[in-house]
Amino acid sequence: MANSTLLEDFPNEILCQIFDYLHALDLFWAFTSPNTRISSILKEIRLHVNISVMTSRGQLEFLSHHLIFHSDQVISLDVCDEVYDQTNVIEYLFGQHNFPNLRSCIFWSLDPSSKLENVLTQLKKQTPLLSFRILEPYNTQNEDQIRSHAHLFSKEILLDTPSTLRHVTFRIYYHYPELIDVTIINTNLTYLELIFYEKYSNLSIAVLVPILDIHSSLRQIHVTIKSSKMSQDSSIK
Amino acid sequence: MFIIFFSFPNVQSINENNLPRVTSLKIFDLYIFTQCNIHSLACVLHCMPNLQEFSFTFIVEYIHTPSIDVLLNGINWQQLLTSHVPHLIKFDIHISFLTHNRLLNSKLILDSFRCFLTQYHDWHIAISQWTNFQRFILCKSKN
Repeated sequence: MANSTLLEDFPNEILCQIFDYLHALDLFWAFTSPNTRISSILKEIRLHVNISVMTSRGQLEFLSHHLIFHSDQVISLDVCDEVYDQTNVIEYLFGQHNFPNLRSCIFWSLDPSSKLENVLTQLKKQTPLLSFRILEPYNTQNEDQIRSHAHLFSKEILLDTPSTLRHVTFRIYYHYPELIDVTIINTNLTYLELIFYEKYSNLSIAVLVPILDIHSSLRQIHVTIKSSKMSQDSSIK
Repeated sequence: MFIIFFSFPNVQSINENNLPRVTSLKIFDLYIFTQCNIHSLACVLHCMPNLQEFSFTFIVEYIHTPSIDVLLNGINWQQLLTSHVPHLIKFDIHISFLTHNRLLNSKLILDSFRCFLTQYHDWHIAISQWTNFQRFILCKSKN
């Protein structure tokens, strides 16, 4: 008779460690069971919510249903706003749940139609957020909406920085004009990554100076300066 | 003294006597894909007096000759860095651009960076020049 070890035979500590490698959707999908020991472990561990572009609407609803009982365990969110068969995922998640222990938040591929004001208010007022990243690929189609998103992030996060926030990465193509006339605010940011982008002009490195005025506790800064000026030189032989 | 930098439609001005100082800033990674004015860079570096690591990447298509000469001169970099960020221990620089049949004097450029090579034993510099690949094939096929 083979003597094999089942997953359920592992002690709690090992299971906790294993579960820490899985994100919330996979965890609930695989381990929701009548087994009360595993259920009680699931009620205590830290959760990482990861919604990739391949997540389906069904999976999203399944996850959301489980999050009703577990949203206070979520410490990190990594969410793609436009998934396989649903858009406005971020709005949906934050509309259904509070995340009172959220530390890290990554939003990517923002849907141009998403309304994110309430999401940002929630992040600022109801979470001890430590790290916030926006990853938005360059897109010529929805430039106005992307710009209005970037303006919102700039106003709510760069200018009215929550005191717990230390790390901000905004990979979004924008030129941050609202930063220029700001008087000094001291924030607690220690890491900042920005792209300064203006379509038909040459931005100067001087755009950095207001940033340094506002975020005077920075330890590391990563800046990209780009424009898409049309090429003027054409005398190629 | 006011310096005005035109960046249509924004007009930005830097008051050189009132630059912010971020004394905690240790690492600065800068990627520029448009023009680069070394004087503005000096003002920005002046804001980070305790900088330890600076990475500068500059990639453009076509550039005005005088600007690129300033950036390719190692002596300018030496002056810039020693006067504004004297505690620097790591300096990475990468410059790529296209020119029109203008050959660069690689030896002159290398010589200007000699101060870095002599002062820091771990410093290396490489210059690559690539001619238009299509033209190269054309030349070859004429034989």
